[in-house]
Amino acid sequence: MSSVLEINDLHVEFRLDADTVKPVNGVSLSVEAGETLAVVGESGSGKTATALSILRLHPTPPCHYTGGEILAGGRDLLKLPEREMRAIRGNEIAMVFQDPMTSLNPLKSVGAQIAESLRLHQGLSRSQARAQAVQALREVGIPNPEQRAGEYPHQFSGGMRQRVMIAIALACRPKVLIADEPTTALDVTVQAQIMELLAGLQERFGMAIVLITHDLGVVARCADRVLVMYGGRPVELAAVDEVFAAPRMPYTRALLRSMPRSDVPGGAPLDPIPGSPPNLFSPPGGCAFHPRCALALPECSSTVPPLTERAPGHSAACLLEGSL
Amino acid sequence: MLTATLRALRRNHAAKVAVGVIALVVLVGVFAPLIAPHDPNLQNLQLKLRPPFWMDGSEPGYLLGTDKLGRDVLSRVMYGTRVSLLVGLAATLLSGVVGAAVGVVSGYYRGWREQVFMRLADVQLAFPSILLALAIIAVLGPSLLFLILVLGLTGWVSYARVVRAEVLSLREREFVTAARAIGDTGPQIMVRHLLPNIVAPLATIGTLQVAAMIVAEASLSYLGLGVPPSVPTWGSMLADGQLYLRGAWWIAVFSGAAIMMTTLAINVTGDLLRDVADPKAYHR
Repeated sequence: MSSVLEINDLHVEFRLDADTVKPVNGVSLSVEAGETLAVVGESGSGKTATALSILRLHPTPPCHYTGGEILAGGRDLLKLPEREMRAIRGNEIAMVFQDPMTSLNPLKSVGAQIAESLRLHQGLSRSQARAQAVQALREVGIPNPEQRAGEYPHQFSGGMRQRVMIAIALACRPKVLIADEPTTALDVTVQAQIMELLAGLQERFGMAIVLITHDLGVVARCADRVLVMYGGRPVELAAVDEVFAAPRMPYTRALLRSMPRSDVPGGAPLDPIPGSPPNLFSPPGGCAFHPRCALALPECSSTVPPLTERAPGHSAACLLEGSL
Repeated sequence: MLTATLRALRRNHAAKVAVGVIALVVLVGVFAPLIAPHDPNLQNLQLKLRPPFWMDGSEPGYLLGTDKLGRDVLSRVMYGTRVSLLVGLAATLLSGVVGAAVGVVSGYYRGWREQVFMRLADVQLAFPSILLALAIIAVLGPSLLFLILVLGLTGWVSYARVVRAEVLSLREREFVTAARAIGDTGPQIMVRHLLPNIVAPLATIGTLQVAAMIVAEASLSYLGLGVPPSVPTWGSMLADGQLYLRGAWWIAVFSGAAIMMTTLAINVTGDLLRDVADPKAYHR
């Protein structure tokens, strides 16, 4: 199968008054229909910046897309005029945001907010769109959708609102769904329900999911492949089992070790990563992770290792060869 | 907002009276031709400068006395209500529409649009608008339409500034990004998502603005540059009565009282609306 979304060597800059920040430095990824690619990393690693770049949602200025390409449906999204870009947003590529409490307009009924997308992209009449919106609410498992469609966001719980966001995103049956930390703002039991819902809808509609998260538990359960990001660069890309079993980049290994484990009897002590994520205003030279890396070599402070394939389907960006 | 307003109204006695006064003024304005005892422009020089009913020398049927041409003061105050309300509401509506549009565009797009509009607002604020209105009316001649246009087009600044400030904070909210993510255009976001969220502050400024516009209209009419002289207005009555203040105080006093009561009532109501729109300020 061919990929429905492919990013090649994407570079993004925010040009502020005094400084230029580069939140995305040469990100490449691709997803196929029906596949879930998880993008993981700490806060500030460029996950969300990459996600917003796909739909060109960063405000320009200060944002500039300085290099690379984003290919979807045979076109480079970075070269499309704004008008054609709007036809793609919500139609071919849709997005679910982190906080369902703030991503819905408090003054419009949820039915109207789902209908808005349908009317924009499919030219439906008001009543047709309304009927489809009810159907969309039913698909995301909201009970009593006819009545709920006329209600307002404050009448919904957090989990229900995220279901509404998913209904909006999937209303036009996009080929790609970008989910930017869709469960971060929800409590744990609801998180599982939302991820199950997404998996079920993916099976039904066959869209690709780019799942942005820092929850490795979610990754283990839901993702097919994982892209690990650090300091705006991709540092490891592999199938999900490979990443958990045999990480090839010290940062990935450190991330896994800092996660609480329930499979060790009595519980293992957490092993946090020392230091803090790189300051994007003055990133360290060489590999961005070297100041915090337990295995750093002297060369790490001067060489930026490229992302290279170490085994079939498993790439890493590190000077150390072999699995760790 | 409506239920919250009613609840606040129940606790606020001054506002109850104010709303009552506004209702009375509106009713008088609307039904002036039916309830006014006389034609407001009917002159009767034999009955000129008669005092109100409780004073010696009053003429039965002329409750608030007559002016220098023997016209009924009560009828003229009643008809004056119409001009004041019409100018106040129309000019407020016009300045509200212009100001909200300018404010939303400045706040949403930022960049050169914001620079141009906000500098224009600074210029407008630096220039006394009553003077500008005076100059324009003096050139174009007194007319109700010009008066509304001039007052409406000089009053947009307060809306534009408040709306821009509100939009600056709203545009960073996630639902605006979400609207862009489903393919909304800039104008669609402004009309469907931003404007509905700033209705409350708009209504509040609007209410206070109506009072300011009524005073502005009265001031221009007082200076003889408002509406044509044949139309009775509170401002022109005030100007007429000024000459007779010593002997026939009722001409100026009743028209002046009408201006004061109306604007006071509107301002009290506006304060109530502001408190409802901003519950934090209410409890401070």
